[in-house]
Amino acid sequence: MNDNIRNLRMLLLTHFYIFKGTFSYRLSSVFFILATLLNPVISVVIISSLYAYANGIAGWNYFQLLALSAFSTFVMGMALYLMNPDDLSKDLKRGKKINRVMLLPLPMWFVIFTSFSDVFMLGSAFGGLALFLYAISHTSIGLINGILFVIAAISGIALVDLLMGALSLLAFKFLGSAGWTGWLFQELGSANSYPLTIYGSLGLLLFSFALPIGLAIYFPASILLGKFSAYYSLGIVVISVLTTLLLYRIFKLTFNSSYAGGKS
Amino acid sequence: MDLRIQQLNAHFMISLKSTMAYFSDFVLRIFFQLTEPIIFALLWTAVYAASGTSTIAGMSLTSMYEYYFVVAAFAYSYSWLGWEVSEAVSEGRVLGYMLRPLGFPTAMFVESLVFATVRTALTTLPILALATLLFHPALSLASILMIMLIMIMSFSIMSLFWFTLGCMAFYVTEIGGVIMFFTFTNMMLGGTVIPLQMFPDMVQKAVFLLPFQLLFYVPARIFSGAINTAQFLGIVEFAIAWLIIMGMFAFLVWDRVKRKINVFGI
Repeated sequence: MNDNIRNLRMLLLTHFYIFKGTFSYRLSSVFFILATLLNPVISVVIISSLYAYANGIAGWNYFQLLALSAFSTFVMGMALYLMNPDDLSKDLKRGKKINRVMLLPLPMWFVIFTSFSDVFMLGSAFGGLALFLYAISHTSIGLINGILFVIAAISGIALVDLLMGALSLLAFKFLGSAGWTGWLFQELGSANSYPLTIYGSLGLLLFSFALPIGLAIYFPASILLGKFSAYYSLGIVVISVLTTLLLYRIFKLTFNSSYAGGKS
Repeated sequence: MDLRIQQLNAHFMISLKSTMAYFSDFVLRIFFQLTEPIIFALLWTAVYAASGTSTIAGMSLTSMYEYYFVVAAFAYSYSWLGWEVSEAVSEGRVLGYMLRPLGFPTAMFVESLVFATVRTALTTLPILALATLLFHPALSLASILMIMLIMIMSFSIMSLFWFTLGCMAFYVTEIGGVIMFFTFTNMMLGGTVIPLQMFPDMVQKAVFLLPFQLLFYVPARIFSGAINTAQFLGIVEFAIAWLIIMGMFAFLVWDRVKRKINVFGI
């Protein structure tokens, strides 16, 4: 218990110093945040344009789709804030940061969530959150759905990070630069900003099982907006948490078996 | 003159090798970028199905598919000069360029041109060829020449724009955020998110005064045959005006910032 409190304190302190370091270039930082804030603005532009011509897209009304898209921006923003896959991939090849952090007496989750943080993505996350809150204020939400949604959302952010981490580990085996993980997750975030049913059964299966980002975005948002029954929603939350734990195990085992110290 | 061409050619070849150094990364990046038009195509399919109409903002569903496909093709030839200039300045590589025969602005332009040429040859052209097979646009020799001319002009305007912006690094060192902000803005105002005629009237008026439409929207509309010769001539005049404005601005900024270069206190 004491260890967990100490680790959590260390996590907050580390992020505080990451902030201080990042904001040493003030002008650039302000523009980075403005740039990431454009993500929710783009969501509003796209969805408003779509609904100028159609009333319900794939069974979702304007505010529901706005909520889904904003939630996608929030989850991807938070996940990238906690860990930028580009930085992790590059560091796995060069071993600059990871070699240093691995020497500290800290658990694996601490290493993941502190070493490759992208502070600027908080602009996107907070912008997405503000838009999400605005959108859901125009919809009706049940208490049970709200509780299940919060669990699914927290688990979902961890799931996205661990999936990014697991895929970034491919840098141990393949590809000279491995900068593709950032591009992959950018596209996955875009795809999950809309109801997965528009991609047909294949898309639904792809985003639920092969690259389970749907468990982090589409399904939690659907639970909140009452698209599923209570039992179905509970089942999704359980699957989401189990998938997150499984990904953590895969990441930990693969990392430990592939990592070779300052070899690079 | 011969020597100058040899210098440009040598710099072109070196930049080509450096661009192709991470080939697998290059290919994967193209693959993931191509998913964007597929997402939009499926989204618009749902919108057309829900609206019950066959035409939205003067575009059928097929022309909407074609638009996003072609816009994605042109996005590959986008200039990344802002990053190159700012990195060269913040890492102190400017002097190295200034000591070489081409000088800093020309060397930067050539490197950016190589990057864009490789991407155009390996991605824009094959995707446009595929789009021609899929959508059968009424392409003529004249429209192909129009697209080429607009691509050259928009690349030049944007290179001058990014060079000017990149020179901010002489004053504030780190400008990654500024570049990212303007990249997102260019993409949105250039028509990658939605066709520009779908913006509200007031926004449209402002957007059509800016040069970013030349990046993706105008070439895509020429490709689909939506722009005639008279309209094209008006667009060329507009592009020339922006080229002059950006050229003057870039010249004035470079003339000023090069005085700030300080090596060993000299």
